[in-house]
Amino acid sequence: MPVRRIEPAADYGRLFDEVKGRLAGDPRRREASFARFRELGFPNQRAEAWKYTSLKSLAENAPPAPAPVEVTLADLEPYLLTGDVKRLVFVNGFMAPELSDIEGLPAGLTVASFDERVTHEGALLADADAERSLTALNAAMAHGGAVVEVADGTDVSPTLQLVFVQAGDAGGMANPRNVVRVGAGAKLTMAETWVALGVAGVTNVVNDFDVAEAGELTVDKLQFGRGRATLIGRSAMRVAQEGRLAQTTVTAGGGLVRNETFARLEGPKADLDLNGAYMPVKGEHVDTSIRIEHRAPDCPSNQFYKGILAPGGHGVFAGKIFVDQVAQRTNAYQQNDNLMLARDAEIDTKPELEIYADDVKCSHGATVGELDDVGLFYLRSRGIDKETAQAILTFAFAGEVIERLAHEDSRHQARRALLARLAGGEKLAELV
Amino acid sequence: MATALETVQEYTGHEYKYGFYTDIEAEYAPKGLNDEIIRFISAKKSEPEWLTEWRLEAYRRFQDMEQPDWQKPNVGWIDLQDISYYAAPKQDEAPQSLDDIDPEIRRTYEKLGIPIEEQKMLAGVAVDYVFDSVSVATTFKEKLKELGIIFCSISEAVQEHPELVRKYLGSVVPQGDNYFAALNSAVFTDGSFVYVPKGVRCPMELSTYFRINAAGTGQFERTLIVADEGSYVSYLEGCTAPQRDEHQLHAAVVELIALDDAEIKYSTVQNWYPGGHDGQGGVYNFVTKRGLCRGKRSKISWTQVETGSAITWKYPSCVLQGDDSMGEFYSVAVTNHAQQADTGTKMIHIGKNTRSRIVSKGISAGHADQTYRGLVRVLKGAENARNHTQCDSMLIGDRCGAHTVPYIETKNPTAKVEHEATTSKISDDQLFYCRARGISEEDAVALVVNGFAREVMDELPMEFAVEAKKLLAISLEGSVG
Repeated sequence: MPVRRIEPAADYGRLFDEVKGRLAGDPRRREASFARFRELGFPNQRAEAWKYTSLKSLAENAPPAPAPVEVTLADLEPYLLTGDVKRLVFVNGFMAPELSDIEGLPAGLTVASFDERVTHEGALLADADAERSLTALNAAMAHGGAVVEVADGTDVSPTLQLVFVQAGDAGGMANPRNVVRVGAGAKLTMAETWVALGVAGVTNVVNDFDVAEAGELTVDKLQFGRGRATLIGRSAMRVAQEGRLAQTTVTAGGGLVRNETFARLEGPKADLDLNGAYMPVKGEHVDTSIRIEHRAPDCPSNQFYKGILAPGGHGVFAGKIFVDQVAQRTNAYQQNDNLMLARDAEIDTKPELEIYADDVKCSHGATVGELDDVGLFYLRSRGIDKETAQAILTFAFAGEVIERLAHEDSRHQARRALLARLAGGEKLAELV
Repeated sequence: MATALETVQEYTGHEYKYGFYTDIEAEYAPKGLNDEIIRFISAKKSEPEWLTEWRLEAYRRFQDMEQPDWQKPNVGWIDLQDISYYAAPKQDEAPQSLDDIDPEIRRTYEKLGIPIEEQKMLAGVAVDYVFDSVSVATTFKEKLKELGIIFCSISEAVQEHPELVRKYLGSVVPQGDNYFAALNSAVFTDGSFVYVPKGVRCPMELSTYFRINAAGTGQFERTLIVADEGSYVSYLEGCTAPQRDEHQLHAAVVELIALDDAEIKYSTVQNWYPGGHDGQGGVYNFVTKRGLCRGKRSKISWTQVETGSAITWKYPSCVLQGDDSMGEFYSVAVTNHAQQADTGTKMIHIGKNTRSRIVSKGISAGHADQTYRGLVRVLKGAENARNHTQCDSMLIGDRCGAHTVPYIETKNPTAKVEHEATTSKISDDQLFYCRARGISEEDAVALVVNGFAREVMDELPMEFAVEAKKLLAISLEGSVG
């Protein structure tokens, strides 16, 4: 068997020793998870799921322990949602009450910090997927994050925003964990925002989303990285009968961003909708990895991802639809379109199907190309300069995904971030 | 009215009809793999020193490798020491004419429906017959010679055209390319060699028929086809094996080289013994096939109809090096009962304006599992590269699987790459439509399946198309359990 792991640097032991004093919950459980992480090691690029993304540097250089850093509301203002919003902010994994606002939550909605809850509920740390080393690492050091519960039948009106801030240039490692449980027939709209204010640091987040029968969860996932800031995220999703989960991810920046989604449709007519746009520029690497399991009949699932590859950007998309033998009448669709803006960009895409039921409609498509000459010519012939014409077409290309964000402010933020990354984007400011 | 599934079940009657064994005297090498065996094979074939060394070098690389495990089918570890690497029908001397061939071997080929007779001239096909490890006959050599075309067994080519063999052998699939290719490079016994000189359009289809007969052996043939500038050749490959309870390994290497403006069309109808319904026995078909479009405006086209083998694991590929070169891959793969297939192609775009097209149709029935795995890679310099991939799967019954794993890697912004894939079953509507017009249930299933695969079948040379069509129907017989 070829070797598919990288031995984590000895310094990870040092990191664990430094942080363990402040970890909530059963210390033996933490030790066991850490031992498990060491045993698994980091995956190398011979591991199929990491074929195009290297963790070598992370494996060989353990980041320092995270420290609280002063951040003001003004620093975060461009990334916050306004209007009817409740908010929980974490800075380097530490909850920041002065930046948060969870006063007066509506009846039926409970929001608690993960650390507070894990003290009484050790099971929250249970490894959903024990084979994933980064989850084990998170389980060992999980600190920060939220536990959100919506009682059966509750339609939550405010949008709940969870903000994870990486601040300072010291480059610490945060391991937040979020648990979201939407009760039967309940409804919740959330935003999960990742902001790097500093140019270094690592966030290794694990999300656990549960949607009960006929429940509905909508998630706007916005990622604003910079420099070498690294985000590795894993969302486990379970959707019960007639439940619905819709998530739209927009990634604007980050030295290394890896978004993993592992979703299971567990009851008949459970519905899953995953959308995403990524736009890596020079030196950035954005990797989207999805596995959707259809474990019950009559479930629709939909993946719609778009990539814009600017000079020096590297995009990776691997989406898999798995259809179990019992999942008859599955209707699964997957589309990944990529726009290459420049010569030294790279896109690696792998849309995958694994099907064991015969009465299904499953299709996928993937495209890679540059901007359409005809469209460019049309705009140029109307007196629009080349750069602006390119920006308009690119903006429209990403627009199809951005429109699917639930909150109006999410859409504005995503458009603004996109234009800031496009040559000539400043001329389109009025479109934000 | 019977359902589609029942119809497919009723469709039984035929099982593998090439499962007989011919009792002829054969010469074996002892089981095992080591330097001695490699020298033995090389000596047996009176090979020059450089080739012996080439084999030994391949073996050295092979020893540093491990059996790959990334594939979808469950292969298990194969004990390569338990195979005899050389089995040849015993002959005192090489046959001088077709009449000298052992009548048993001739009868074998006749049973297969491929008489070793000059009457093939009518069909316009020249054939090289490979029986276990060695080529037993090649027809039409003389006629081809007049045009300067070399068509012979690779052993013969090593003796008579060493400069060509030395120049091209391993130039597309190097010795250390992969585990099974390295093994093949070390122990290959025979295969076909084709050289088409500049500007010559080969007037007939060239064909090789492979047959594994002996027990406890593997077949490791090596095929090398070189199309010089402006030439054209169409090559057909067919294969069968007797019905046996142990697995037999077929690890061939096929290398194609197309120079400027040359075109090679390579068609395969693969009908190795698929094993019993519960997966006992059957051939492991682990073949490395790769074509190099070295010249400008060259073209290589792979067409395959895969109906046999317990496990099919291969990716006929094109390396599009010359500017404006073109690669094509058309595939129909049928898996039934316990068969497994992990097949597809790789298109590597290196030159400017290179184009590739992939059409893959997979049909899965019974407990079978089938995977399309493909790679389209566009390198930095491949300006205006184009690829279109279409990949459709059909499932018959709810116990089988169909999987699609395409990889697309692009480093050039002017490239246009498109991939689409669908998965479906035989629709009741289609069957009803046919039934309403008086077409019997089984004919309707055959019609729908043939229609599904038609885009690929159309690419097959006439000779093969008829056989392939029949094979499709037969392979689905006795399907769902």
